[in-house]
Amino acid sequence: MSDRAAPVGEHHSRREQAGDQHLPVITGLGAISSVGVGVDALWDAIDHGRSGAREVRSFDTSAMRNHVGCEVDDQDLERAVDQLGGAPASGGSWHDLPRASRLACAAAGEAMRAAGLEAADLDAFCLGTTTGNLLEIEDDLVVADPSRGDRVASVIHDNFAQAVARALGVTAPATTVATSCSAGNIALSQAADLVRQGQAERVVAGGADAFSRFAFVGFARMRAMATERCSPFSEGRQGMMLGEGSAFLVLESAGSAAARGVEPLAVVRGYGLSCDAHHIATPQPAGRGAAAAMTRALADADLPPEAVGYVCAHGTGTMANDIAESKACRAVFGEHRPYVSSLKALLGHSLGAASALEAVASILSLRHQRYIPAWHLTTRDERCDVDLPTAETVVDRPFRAVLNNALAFGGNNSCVALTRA
Amino acid sequence: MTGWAGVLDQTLADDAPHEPAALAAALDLPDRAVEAFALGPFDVRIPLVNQRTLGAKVLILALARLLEHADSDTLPPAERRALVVGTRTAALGETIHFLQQVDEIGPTLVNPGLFPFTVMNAPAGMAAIRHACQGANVTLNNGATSLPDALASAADMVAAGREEIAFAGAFEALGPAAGASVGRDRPALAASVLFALETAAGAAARGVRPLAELRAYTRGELAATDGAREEVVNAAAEASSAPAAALEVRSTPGAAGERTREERVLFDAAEALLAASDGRPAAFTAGFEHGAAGSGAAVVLAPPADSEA
Repeated sequence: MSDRAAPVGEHHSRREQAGDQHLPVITGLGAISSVGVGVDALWDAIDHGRSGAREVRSFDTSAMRNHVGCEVDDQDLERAVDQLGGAPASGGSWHDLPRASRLACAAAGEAMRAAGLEAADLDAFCLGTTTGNLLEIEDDLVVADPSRGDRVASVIHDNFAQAVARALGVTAPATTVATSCSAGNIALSQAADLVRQGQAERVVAGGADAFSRFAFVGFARMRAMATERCSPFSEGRQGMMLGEGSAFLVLESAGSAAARGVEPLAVVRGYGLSCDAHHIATPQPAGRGAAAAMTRALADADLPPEAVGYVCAHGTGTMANDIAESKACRAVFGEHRPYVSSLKALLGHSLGAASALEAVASILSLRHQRYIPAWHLTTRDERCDVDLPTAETVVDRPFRAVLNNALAFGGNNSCVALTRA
Repeated sequence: MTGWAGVLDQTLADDAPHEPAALAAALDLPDRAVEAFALGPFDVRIPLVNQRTLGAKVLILALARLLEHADSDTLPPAERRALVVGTRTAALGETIHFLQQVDEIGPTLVNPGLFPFTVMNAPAGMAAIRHACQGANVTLNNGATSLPDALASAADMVAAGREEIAFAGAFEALGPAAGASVGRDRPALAASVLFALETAAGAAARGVRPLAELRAYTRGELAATDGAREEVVNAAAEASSAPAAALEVRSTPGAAGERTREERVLFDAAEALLAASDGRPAAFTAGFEHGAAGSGAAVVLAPPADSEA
């Protein structure tokens, strides 16, 4: 048994208590998405503007208006899972795990390998998701037959993060953050707090969601999906593109990383959370909640707005989101104009995994000192008054800090401030 | 903890007994805990929240009751109020309903308004809208330990100065379809318990007397045995500097083979708070289901400082 025992309420001042030893640094990254397996494939796609969008393969879309999505190639997923080696600690074969679990295990495994850590080295595991493994049993849910109760009960009673952790052999406490599209960012925030408060030395945090007919139909019916390509912040954009994937980051105290002789990739400097309290599915039009999350992240990170060179936007490509998020950026930064772009142009919206993938991309962007181009940009929507970097925008202004935004149904806003190590 | 509220709604349970004692027996919960909750059916109209969004309904009602007893003039502004909830069943009923509608009506005609309510954080989002909570809004789906984990997360937020007040707790919603899907053989219901968490200094500044102090939280993994439960409670007691023997422990271990008892921890937590507010240090546990490989957690609640003396 491993446990976390904490006197609650003794974390009076994170800054006083944290010090450099408890600074949460990133020492490993892992990613799988529609553009390929691994962090290198992700950066290559970002660098070359390679999109993962294609005709949906996992179910029949012929009756629907939308037919394109950003699915992980089945062979890619099998190859990623093979890289884990051996078999799940929870039994069976890697290939028998539900798809969302396989995606999560593949990305978390890559991050742990990159950090040089074993499952037993971890003190906590935080995973954000929208549906976890629930839709794996879609047929059982629709029938709602008590005789199938054990199967459904085993899924809802299981903590998705715990199921993934168990497969990986992680016995540390596992937490599932279920805040839909902001879940990856909030999992990362929770992990950062555990490290900063001295409750954990090494935490793996990220997000995972599998492609589903459920979400595809839902977003299509809401008229929120583009038919061919996602073009965030562009005039005449049609909406989002559904995606899937997973990304994980290893957060470690600076003291632990130094003791292991590991060079940090970046620092989780702070975060901010807020709620629009406005509408279940539509952002507050002025971006008030998003701005509050960004302002809180800057304050928590002790960074002035001018320190931020790039904002990895939530940028779904829907009319409402992109306008509200642009207004939030203007409210936070004023005359300062950091570059803003959205990775969803290439990967689509992978829901609970999205902000984890974007956090990984943000760190790669910091490491390479290259802004993520606003791929698929046509003409900027005049209502989106932000500076969008092009593929030609390289290091014309070096940057030290990035804000990673994630905005979700329920008016749920999160922002993570990342800086160079 | 400066306030609490519990709500148990049986709107969709035609066969549920409405007398507290009979209901407690049907649900296998202690009489006192059930009596301490507000019992429905609740005939209320909440914009956008219908009878199918049971989780949102009970969470909104619980928050309304909690705020009824709070001094609204001294409450922190909306942007400093967090809502942190745990849930095991989350939006299971809404998800099933949407899937069934897709099958029955077709993917091109299904009501798009149903979809946003299928996300697990929809109830917390709706409660935030209804009661103006613009601070952090977090939903955890941690199986059996969802409630204690949410309380610990909220307490950390408040202690760290991120939020001035956090309304934290849990909701569980099992309408007939969702209940059937998990093989539940007891009345359909939805329940929520919420606690108001703020620092002692914050409560003093507002002139509010605390009911209890959330002293410690411990979580253990692979904690499927009675021995593990004792170990986790002892660890929580140690972290709280309270002797374990002095704690009144509220615990409802699952019976072998039992599949669903989502609501029990809500009542155990409420009972522990009632004990602590009466001056008796108490703890409640969650998880520890026989035969389960999941985690278990314990939370220690101490009487407020002035009553300990």
